[in-house]
Amino acid sequence: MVLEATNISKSFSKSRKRTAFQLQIEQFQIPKGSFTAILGPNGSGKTTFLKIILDLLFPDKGHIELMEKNHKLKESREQVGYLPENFSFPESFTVRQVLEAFGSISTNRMQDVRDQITILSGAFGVKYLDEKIKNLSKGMKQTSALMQTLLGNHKFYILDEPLNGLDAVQKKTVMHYLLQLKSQQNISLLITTHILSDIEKLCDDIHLIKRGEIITSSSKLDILNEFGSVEDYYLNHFESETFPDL
Amino acid sequence: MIRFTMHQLFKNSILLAWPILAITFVLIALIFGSTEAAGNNSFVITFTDNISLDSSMLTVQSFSIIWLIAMVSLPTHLVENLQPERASLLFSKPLSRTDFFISDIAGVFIITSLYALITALVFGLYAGMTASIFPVSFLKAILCIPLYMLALYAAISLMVVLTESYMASVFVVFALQPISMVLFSFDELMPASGGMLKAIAGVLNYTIPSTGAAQSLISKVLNTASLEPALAAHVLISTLPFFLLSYYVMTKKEF
Repeated sequence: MVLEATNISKSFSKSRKRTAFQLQIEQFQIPKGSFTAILGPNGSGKTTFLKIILDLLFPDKGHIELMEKNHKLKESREQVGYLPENFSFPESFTVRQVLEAFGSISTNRMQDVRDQITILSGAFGVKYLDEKIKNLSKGMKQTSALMQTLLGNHKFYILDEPLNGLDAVQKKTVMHYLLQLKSQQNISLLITTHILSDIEKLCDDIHLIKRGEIITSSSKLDILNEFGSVEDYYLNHFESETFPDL
Repeated sequence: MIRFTMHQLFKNSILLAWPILAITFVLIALIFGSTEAAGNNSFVITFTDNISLDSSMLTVQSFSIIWLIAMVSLPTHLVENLQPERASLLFSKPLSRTDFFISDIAGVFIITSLYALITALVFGLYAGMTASIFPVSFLKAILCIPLYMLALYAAISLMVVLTESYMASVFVVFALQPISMVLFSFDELMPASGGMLKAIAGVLNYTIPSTGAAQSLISKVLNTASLEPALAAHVLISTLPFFLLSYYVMTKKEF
């Protein structure tokens, strides 16, 4: 398993007596080589769960094994790449400087980082490595952030809304690259997104999360057999609640 | 992580003004001024008949400018790194909060030491070339500035970790200077105060980063050219409570 979370609980309180939101995950596992998605409406707890996995938020209780190590140990993150939904790079840095600076946190072998930057920029068609971050468009920043995440030949990627702001061509390139990594290096992926058609192309397993709890988990094949598409599966679980009159 | 911190500090244009101003000043002095040796390996730069600057006055002026630069530039990278959008990128790497904290302080100390060394080298070369002297006490005083910066950074670090606010940290650093001076010279400034008050001031003198002790160290080095280890130890000890507290808050911080 690349990820195993047991009895995770995290609550956010409005006041001492009132709980504003509670995340409650009984059991969550991702086997090696699996591409897994967590889907759910805004505010359902997707990002909170991802942050707990990476020890950015601390759970009230529960245990997480990341890459077969306690997730609190920094060693557990050596083989993990994470792309947050909201990120900020130093605005005065160029894309190359950002990639080198963030790459240098994980490794001392700077030549490897530079070689990988060349490979990734070729794969994503990035010709703005020497442009400053402040001059980039949203899509360019998102591509740079994806490159930053993919630096380091990780075995497990956690991507929070990775395709935000990308055009159709860029999206296709990213998905193709991830699928290529899967077939060549047997990487694992945990992804959240609102673009359900992308999930259908990319993922093997899908979990639905509602108000902080995983309400159902299925394989893509089962979903397609039963509902025809991931979108119909998703709507079947959430539409009636969001728009009860429909 | 230390490479990342240093990269950020090198890109900090306000902090970079420190060595640039030192180099610019020396170039201006070379072109428009004349320099003479003035005993005790000190020197006087004269620009016109009315404007002259001896090495101790130059230290005070440089020190004020460097203090101003440090106050506005040193909190920037830490404030940015602790914003959730940046912190979630950093802490998702194989980086513990301890690594981050130590690298951050080490990075600041290395860069301020480097800039102090550049300043000392530039002025040393200038004094050697123009007045044929080696101003030992002046250069030693410049090289003590990183210790002063460490005291400032202890206050910056705690304020930023607690508030994530750039303005709060600038304000605290601004207020730290006079408070620390009063605490450091409490016995001389308020000889008639009671024992209790003196005891409180004595404790605070060692629990609030003592920029006062650092400043006193620099002025003693300037006058005698010898480093007083007790004052250096005072500065280092007084930074510990703030650094330890900011480390504790950092380990409890969620992003």
